[in-house]
Amino acid sequence: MSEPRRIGVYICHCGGNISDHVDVQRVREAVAGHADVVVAETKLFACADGTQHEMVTAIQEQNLDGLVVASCSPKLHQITFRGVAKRAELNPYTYTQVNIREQCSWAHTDDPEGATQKAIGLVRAGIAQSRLSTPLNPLVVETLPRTMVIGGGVAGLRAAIGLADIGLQVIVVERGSRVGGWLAQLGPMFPNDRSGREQIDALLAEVAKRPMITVITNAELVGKSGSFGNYTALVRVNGEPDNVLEVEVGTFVVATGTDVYQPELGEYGYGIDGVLTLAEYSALVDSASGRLTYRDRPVRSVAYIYCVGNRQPGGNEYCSKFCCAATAHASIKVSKLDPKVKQYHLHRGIRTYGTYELMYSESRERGSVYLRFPDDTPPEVAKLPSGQLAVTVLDPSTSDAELTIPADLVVLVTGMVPRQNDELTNLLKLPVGSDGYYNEIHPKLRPVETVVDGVLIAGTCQGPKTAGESVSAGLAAVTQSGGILKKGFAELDPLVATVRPAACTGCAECVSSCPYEAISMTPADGREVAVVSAATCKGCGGCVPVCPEDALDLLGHTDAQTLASIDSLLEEAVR
Amino acid sequence: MTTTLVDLDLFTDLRRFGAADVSACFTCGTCTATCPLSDDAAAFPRQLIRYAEVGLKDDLLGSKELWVCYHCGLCSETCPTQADPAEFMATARRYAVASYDPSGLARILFTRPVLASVIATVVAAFLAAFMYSAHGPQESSSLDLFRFIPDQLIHWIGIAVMVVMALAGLVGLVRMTGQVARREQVGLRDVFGSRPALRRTLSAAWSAIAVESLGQRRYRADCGADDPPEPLYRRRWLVHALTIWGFLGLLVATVLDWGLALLRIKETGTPIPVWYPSRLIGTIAGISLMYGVTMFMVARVRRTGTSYQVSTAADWLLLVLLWLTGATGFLIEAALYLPAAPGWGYWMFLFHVAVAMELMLLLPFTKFAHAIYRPLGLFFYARAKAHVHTA
Amino acid sequence: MPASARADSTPRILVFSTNNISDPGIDLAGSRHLHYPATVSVMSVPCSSGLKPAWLLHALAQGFDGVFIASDGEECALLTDCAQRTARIAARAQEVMAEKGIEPQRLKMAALCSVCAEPFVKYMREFSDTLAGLGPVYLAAA
Repeated sequence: MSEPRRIGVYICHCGGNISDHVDVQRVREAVAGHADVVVAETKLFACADGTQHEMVTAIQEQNLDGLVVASCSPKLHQITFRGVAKRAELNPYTYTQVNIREQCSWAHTDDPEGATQKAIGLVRAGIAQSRLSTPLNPLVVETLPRTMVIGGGVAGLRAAIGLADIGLQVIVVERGSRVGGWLAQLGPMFPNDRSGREQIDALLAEVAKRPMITVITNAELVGKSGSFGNYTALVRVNGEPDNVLEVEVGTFVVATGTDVYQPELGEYGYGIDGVLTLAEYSALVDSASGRLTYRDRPVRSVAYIYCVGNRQPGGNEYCSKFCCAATAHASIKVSKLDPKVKQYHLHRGIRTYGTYELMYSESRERGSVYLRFPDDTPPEVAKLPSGQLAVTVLDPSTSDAELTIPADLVVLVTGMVPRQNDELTNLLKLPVGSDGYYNEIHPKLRPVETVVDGVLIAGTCQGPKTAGESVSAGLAAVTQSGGILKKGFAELDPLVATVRPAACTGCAECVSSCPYEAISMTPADGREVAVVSAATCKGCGGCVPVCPEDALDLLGHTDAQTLASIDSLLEEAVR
Repeated sequence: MTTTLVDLDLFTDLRRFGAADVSACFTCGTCTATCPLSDDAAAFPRQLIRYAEVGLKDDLLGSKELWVCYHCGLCSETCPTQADPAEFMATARRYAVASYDPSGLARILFTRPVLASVIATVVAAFLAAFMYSAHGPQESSSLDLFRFIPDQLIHWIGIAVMVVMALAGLVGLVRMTGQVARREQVGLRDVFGSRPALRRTLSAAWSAIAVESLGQRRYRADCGADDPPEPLYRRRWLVHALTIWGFLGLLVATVLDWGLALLRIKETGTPIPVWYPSRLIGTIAGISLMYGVTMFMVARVRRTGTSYQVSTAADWLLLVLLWLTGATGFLIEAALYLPAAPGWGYWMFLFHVAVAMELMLLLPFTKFAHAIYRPLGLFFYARAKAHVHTA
Repeated sequence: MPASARADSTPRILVFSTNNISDPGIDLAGSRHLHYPATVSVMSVPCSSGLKPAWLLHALAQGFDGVFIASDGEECALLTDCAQRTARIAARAQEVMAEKGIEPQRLKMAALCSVCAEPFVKYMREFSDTLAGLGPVYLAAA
């Protein structure tokens, strides 16, 4: 079949986590006699420093060309043992991790015999995987020390400053006529009452000090080509078809922000005079001098209705996070203007997390009254014959009866909604989640990376965030860009699709199947054959089953490896 | 579903009656959970705090729960936001007393300390002056108090004071009954309409007046969780009970004295030995009252325990009137038994009668009003409790 | 029932899971010591839309009683239409299965999230019961 291999197999006790339920000795014996297995040992803790050192020594002394460790989930230690292989100068892609803990011993604590037989099959499949592996090298691509920041809001501007400070050139592309985003429109903010405008101005002053940063307003990204680390971006300025700049960049930071929810007419009385959105109300409060008035009438009572347009089953189901805090803050401002204004907050659970809790406390201590209405019984807004507004609400924690609150103003606490940006989304192949916001790879562990290498997302385009959180995300994108671009080159996982040109008939089915445009047709031996750009390929394998000629393979998950693994799982168990 | 229009001004108004710091409350309900007296038939203080904050005036004034609370202070000790629910309850009771009184006098006495002091002084001075205007000679051989101020005058003024007090009290009780009955959804028929209803009413009245008000059962049993435990002589329930029983004892002694006179066994005002029943009861009751009131005053000055942290003018007005009545009573007694009739005994007598009359006259308008409202609240509580148990 | 006897009679199931979404869900089932038959084995791939129908057929022909595809649903970070693609692959496999006389129920596909420990266990028990009812795979003579 194939050339004989020299594979080392290590089976981990994991203290007793594995060996209490799996007879690791029997597993070792079952695979020890295999033709290609040179070393087969059990280890108390495979991940221990000493054991790793023993493995390195064995690999070198026994001249191993493949390594299998049967232990925990690859999520935990695949990187560890690939590192062991690397240190022993063994190609890390000949290493296979077999999960006999999470997917075997722990799942079958009730069946030690079944678990042992299963572990034998899994280890055999792992050996098959390593046996058919080929040494692979990470793809090395040179990178350009330049980042394009798309969107000039607080996240984008702060990212631009950070990028410049680590020595990268930055081009900020802003679609609007001026930078600053939502923040530039906001009045005094928590905690130090600096206005949003002041904060943006401070950022712009910093931007101005850095010649590495170029800001282009009235500009839109209209084209992108190239691959990771070497993108060519086309930027159209002033909407003029002829005015297109071509810019070469290494990474993109997408910070396109969000929209705010606009209630429909009639939604909680929106449209009636005196029913305002949070944004409209905040502007009213921030512009008030002396007492709070609305259309020259003094405001004596305000009713806030929370979660308008958010946390709605079947609609925007998410929470916009900032609105509870922003409303508490507004109510404090109002009570400072006039402590006699009676303020009723009709909410569905207050989410003033972290230090915003202080605002919630202060708001209450200043006399704001918070009522929690049931999710399925929203308040109703109506205009009384007297001209005053009235909100009826159910607050089971106070009374079984419905309460009617007379109010001079009703404030609809509106949250954020994803911005419609289809062109950009398609252009950069940005993954959009079910909530309509861009999806990062992992919300905790890889919070600003997307599956498209070198395209980072930051701020409220990822989902609702406060200004502080947006800045944090922007700075995380700075770090990621720095990690990618500062070395001048980048290594990519080589587990990508490959084409056997001999089998390829040039039907181009695979080309249309790849949303990343990683496959193209190239002339070879007088005909067109498919070629995969390794730097662009995401390694999903989606093209593999599409090929009518079976000419494609995904490295690390080849046809041969998969079939051999299946066979190994089914091999007769040794008793 | 019924709709309640919230009263935007309730909370602001309520704050005038005391240090209602409950805006820190975030409705966690720890107060209700820790309260040894709160149960299914009467859950408080959390719910009442909500009424106050949101502006449900009728619900607050219809809350029998206000009178189930004895202000032990456990809720304020456990409140995570230091909202002082116990003091809120006291404040709400003041507000309720003022709201049941249509004259507005109670509101002034509770919310305007200086004016209240002036009124208290003026009323006592007026009563004293009125009586003095009909005064006779001050005998120097023996203390003949009723020649100085005619007993018939005192008698008739006393009757007048009692009538005014009873009428004002009745108005308040009727108003409170209306409010509470509406909230509890208790109609006339539920109270008197059938034999079982009547039985339940009598049983609730017995519980409210005898067991709880006179017997202080729950005050004693459930509300005594002092930590560290107070010595018996300082326990709130005992001090309170001695005050009540002392006051009632004095009332009994007075009525007895009057009754003996009606039966022509003994003329009012004739010298009698200490062991004579009316005198003996009066002396023992007087000592009891003085002990109770003095202990309350000491505790309020020294702020021993959570219950005594906050003292308002209204608290002091009641204690001072009671204390002055008791103290002057003993001074008269001392004067009576002194060999030579001292002249100050007459003035003490005038002062004593005036203050005692004022105490009764102002009963429905001062903190003293709890003596009539609490039993009514406890009556509704006992009814509800019986219902919860049979349901 | 003794464990060893069960291992012999319990249907063998091959699960294809995905590295980023369903594999963590299956790991979680183990971490929480939720039990499912030990005759269930898992192979991970980057994305379920990379599975070849031939692999599914190979597994059934060589001795697995059923194949379960734990797909990513809407969460796949690699391909937004991953679920539709995988469904097409499963449909293609079932066509061939039908030709070979293999019951279509032996191939099952369901979306499994990264914390779907209980659903996974439930799926495995139900699938195992279904397969036990079908008995061993009989291949029609080609």
